[in-house]
Amino acid sequence: MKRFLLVVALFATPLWAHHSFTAQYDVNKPITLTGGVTKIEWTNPHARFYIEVKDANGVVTNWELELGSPNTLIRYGFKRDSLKVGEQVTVEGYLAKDGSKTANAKTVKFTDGRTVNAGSSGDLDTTK
Amino acid sequence: MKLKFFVLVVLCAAVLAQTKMATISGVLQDPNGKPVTGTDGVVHMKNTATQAEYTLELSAKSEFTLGGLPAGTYDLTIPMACCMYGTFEQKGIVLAAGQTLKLDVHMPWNINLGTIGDDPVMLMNDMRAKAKNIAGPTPRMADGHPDFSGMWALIVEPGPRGVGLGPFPLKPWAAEIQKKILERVKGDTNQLNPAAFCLPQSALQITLPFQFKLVQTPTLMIHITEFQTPGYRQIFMDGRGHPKDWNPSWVGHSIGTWEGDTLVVDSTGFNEMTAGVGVHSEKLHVVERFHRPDLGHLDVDITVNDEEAYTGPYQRTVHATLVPQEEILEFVCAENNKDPLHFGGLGYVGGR
Repeated sequence: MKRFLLVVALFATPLWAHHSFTAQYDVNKPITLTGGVTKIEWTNPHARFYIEVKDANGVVTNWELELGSPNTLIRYGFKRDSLKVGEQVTVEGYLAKDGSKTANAKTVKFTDGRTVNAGSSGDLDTTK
Repeated sequence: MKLKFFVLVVLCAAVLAQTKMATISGVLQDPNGKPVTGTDGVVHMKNTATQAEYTLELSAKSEFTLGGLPAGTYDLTIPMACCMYGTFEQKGIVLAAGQTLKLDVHMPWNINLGTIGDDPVMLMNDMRAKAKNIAGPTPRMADGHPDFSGMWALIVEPGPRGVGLGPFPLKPWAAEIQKKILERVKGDTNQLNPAAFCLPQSALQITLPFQFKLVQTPTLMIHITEFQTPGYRQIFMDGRGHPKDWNPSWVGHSIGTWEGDTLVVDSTGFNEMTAGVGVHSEKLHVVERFHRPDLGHLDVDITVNDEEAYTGPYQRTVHATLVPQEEILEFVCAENNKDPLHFGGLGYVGGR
């Protein structure tokens, strides 16, 4: 009987920081969204921000966009005030598999021409 | 006479042409078209006829030039560790004698799909690059034993052995449970991952791909790992044994003793939910042998066994380098963990 309690035990864990984006977002559904920032959640385990996107008919939708951990973003120069409420941004990412208005953020383009990209070392410093 | 000399020259030229080596060069790009830097990747070129393998370390650069390749057909592989980039493979690259082939290497995304600021392995590589070369003898305590104190960045081996551990030598009953759990989550790997639920990520905290700090006193060592929950473990070095009435826990109970310059850390008292060691029982037993051969390097030999669930011991060695310019930052995972709302709805059901 005790052995059956092991259904919550782990095997060879794939260990990553928090979770797998591939399980949550669809690599076959890239998306580009442009809108004004409405909220920033500078929180663990992952930071998020929200933008209002207006479609061709004027309908406004609020989108949730997921970043990495503040601990990692800070070390790359992406600070909690790097994004500001009201600022217009264009975000590239991949759409959530569950159909929610959620995507990961792999590129953020600011109206002044700055672009913040995924990962490549040193790319995240928005002050450049 | 002249004819003989001419023949000799022609023959030498033919031999030279045959022995002239080829070169492959390239630039690693990510799916955004940006150069990929900050990885510890290795370029592998394998000659398909001779099976000879030629390798080059990228050393955090995006450009590479690998020369000295005999003419022939090659399979190119650039393995990557978790999390930003996936392994690149291109088979059947034909190189002629003396040729320099330029190749654009388009790396695929790995499990984080290019999310900004979400690769702990690249972060540690960057920390290592900032620390540069740290040389010096092994620091020692007043009693002469090595002092393991410091901020460390784990070296994550590129490729399939890099981040995940295992496979573990499971007995049939444990392997059967593993199979059933995999069927139950139907491919939603997040439900196998304790980190996605802000739970402790491994019984083998030293193997986590995150920066960590060791704080050593003569009678106690504290092991703090960023991004881990609860983030710390205690290694008692005051001569005590394991308690008889211990409440089984995620990181267990650890005691350390010295064998010369090696600190032997013996851990028991794990619960059955703890991760990173396969399906196991409360008889899980971990022995870690800590070595600090010089100022900048830490090596830990790990042996894991479980007489109830394993058919024999599992062994692994991990390496870390000193990153003294870094500090541990607070990581309260449960602060705003919205991700489980998007998972399959089973909650945390174990790993693979």
